[in-house]
Amino acid sequence: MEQAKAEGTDGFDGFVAARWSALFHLARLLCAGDRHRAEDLLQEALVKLWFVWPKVADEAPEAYVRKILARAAARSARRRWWGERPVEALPDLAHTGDESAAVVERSRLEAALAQLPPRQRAAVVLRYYQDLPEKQVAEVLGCPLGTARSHASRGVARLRQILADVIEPVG
Amino acid sequence: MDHFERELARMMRDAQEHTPFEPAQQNGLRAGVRARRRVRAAQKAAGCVLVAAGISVGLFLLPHAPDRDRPLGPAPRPATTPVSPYATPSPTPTESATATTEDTAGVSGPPGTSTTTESPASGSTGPGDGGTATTGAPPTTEPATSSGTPTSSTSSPPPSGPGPSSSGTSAG
Repeated sequence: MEQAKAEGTDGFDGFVAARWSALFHLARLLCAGDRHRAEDLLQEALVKLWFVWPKVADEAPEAYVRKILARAAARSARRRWWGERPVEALPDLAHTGDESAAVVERSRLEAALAQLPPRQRAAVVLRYYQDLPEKQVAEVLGCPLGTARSHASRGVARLRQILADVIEPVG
Repeated sequence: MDHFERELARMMRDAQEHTPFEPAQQNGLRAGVRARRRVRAAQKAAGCVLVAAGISVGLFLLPHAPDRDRPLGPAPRPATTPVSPYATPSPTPTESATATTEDTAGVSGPPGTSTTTESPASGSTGPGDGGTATTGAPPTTEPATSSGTPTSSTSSPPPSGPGPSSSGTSAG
């Protein structure tokens, strides 16, 4: 019993240590770059995972965490106002001399994601970052397939407008 | 998936930076687990307390319930008594009704035979209707019944009865 418990704890710790970076990045995209909120969200999801670890350890713990993260992100954004305010033009970013192009690009991406409604953002992130099919996006978000498809397409359309100067159309 | 969508996916993946699982985050996670465990234990304890309180209240009220029901317990009695009162009164009203009708009929006179049979008893017992017969008659009528002339005395009190006695009873 104790050995199994210890193995379970070790398995959980190993999973968290191995997947922390990827899960944190997912949480950060879902929170539109808010690092602190992403950390809280991920921690909350991992606490929930800890209690069901014996059940989901052999199946798909990462899918479980992804579902909790996506739903919690949409729910918490609905429950509380996080100070997001849609604007016509993106705010000027603070540029420093040694800032790399990757950081600038990431900042622009996060600022663009912040302008999407939470469910659209979650659908876009799950669809394009996690590369999930639409059916699975709907399952993770807990909504019908048509709704998930609509969220994703509207979110992409909005991002297309916002990031038009960053991602130039081909041809 | 068009060019923009591919670029969007690339941007999202490229934006990922390696963030190690630091001890501070590990401690925070453990603290979160402990807090959640404490909350669950508190919820479980609160549930147990509520269940115990419910059972104790139920046990407290349960012994009183039969006592409270006991006064109402003779529910069979109301069940039986209504039968007898309703059973007995129902004949009596009919009897009394018939009796009154018979008495009134007797006073009025037309059904002669039945009134003649009942009139001696009513005359002996009751000062009710045949006042003339009771006041003046009892001493006189009993011998009279024995002599066999009650029918005439009961059937014809008002007109043919002794004058002073009938006038005295009507006044009294």
